[in-house]
Amino acid sequence: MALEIDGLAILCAIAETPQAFPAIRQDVNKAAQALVTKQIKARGLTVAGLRQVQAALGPQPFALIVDGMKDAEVKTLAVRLDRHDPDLKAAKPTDHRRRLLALAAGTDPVAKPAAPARSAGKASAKAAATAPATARPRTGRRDAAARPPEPAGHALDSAAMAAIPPRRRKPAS
Amino acid sequence: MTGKMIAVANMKGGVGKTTTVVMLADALAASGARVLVVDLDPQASASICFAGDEILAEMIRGGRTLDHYLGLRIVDRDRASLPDFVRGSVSTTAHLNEPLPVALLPSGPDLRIVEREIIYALTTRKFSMHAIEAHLWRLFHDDFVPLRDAYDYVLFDCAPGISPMTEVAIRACDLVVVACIPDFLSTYVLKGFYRLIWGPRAGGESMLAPKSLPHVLITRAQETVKQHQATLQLLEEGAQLPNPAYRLFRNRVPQSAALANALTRQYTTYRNKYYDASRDLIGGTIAPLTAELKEILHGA
Repeated sequence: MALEIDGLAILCAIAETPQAFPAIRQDVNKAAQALVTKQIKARGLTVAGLRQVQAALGPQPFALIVDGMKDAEVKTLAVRLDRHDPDLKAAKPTDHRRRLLALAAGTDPVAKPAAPARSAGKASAKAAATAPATARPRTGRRDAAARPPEPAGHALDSAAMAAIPPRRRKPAS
Repeated sequence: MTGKMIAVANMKGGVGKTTTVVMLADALAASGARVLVVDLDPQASASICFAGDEILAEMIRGGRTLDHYLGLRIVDRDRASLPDFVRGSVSTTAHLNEPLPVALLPSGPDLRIVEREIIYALTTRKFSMHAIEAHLWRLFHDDFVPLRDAYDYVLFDCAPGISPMTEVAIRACDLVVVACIPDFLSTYVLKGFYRLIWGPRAGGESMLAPKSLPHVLITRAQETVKQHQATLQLLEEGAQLPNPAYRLFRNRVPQSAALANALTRQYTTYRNKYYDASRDLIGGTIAPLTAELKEILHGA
């Protein structure tokens, strides 16, 4: 005799006979999003685990779930699963989502960089650490032009409302 | 297939016209359609929602707004080309990692002044009121209607009150969506709006009757407000009369903080933009409403 409900069997039953559960139709989407998000955010999730989830759901439903996650959640996950990608930490939310979907679709994480050669010496390593980072263009928030800063300061400040249109070629008669 | 033109209108302000335009534009674009939003309101609310303050300021300073275009075209009799005033890919919202394909023909606060300037310039040229209406009607057909070739849907965010360009858009569009809160005052103004545009003495020789009856979309509906429920019942009964004055969308837009938040540009994805913790806003409201809109425009 069963002592506990079989959640998976019940979810299958709901999916197979949705007409019997009209009152919870809108809750199903939210529940599905919450369940999959919890799995994706699980502390021990690996890239292989992420790929299993994507394979189980299909690419588009998986992408919709990722679209429904908060920007900060996606960033945390992408940075954790692809920890050696030097650009991810400072990238835009769109880039985090793109990277996460790519990892799920089979792209390998960036490999761990090789340890610096011993002959380089402490002095040169220190110099490298303090040198300006010019080697790789960063896609940091400062460069994230896709999201122009909203006006700060006075509540009524607005560049658009203060903008003056150019004079037309012929002034109105 | 040419695109469809939709006017979102109501004589009353604050009924959710811009919210409806933004929501429908995003939803149609998320379904893969190419969408153009034309802002006919000098408040420029839809323009701000899509372009943001900085880009809109740049467009106003560069003379790339509807008001500047109308001034050039009608007052100055310039051969300005309307597509040059459209800003493509203006949305910062992504769906499935692609930006929503929404383009914008923005307006600025000067639209109010330019509309007056147009009337003044044309009356100086001895145009009668009918001739002015006919002039705007021809301009709309010559310049705005061809936009349908480049977009699947052209959404007009109409100004409250009835400006001359708003009236032309309402009469020329394939569908007029009348956003309406189900309360006493909103439905009262709806009666006047109907008489003005669809009533027996509406329009004149210079403009044709609208293509179809107004389609009333209930906005900001609250199940717990008795007045809303009573007004809804009246509206439903009116829509079921043998010769109804209006059609009523089956789907209604609930009062939702998420819809107010969606007017900002802080969300990067369509799903986050319309996330409502208390209900399934996309699956329960926006998707069925978009399907109903397409059904009305394209047939079942």
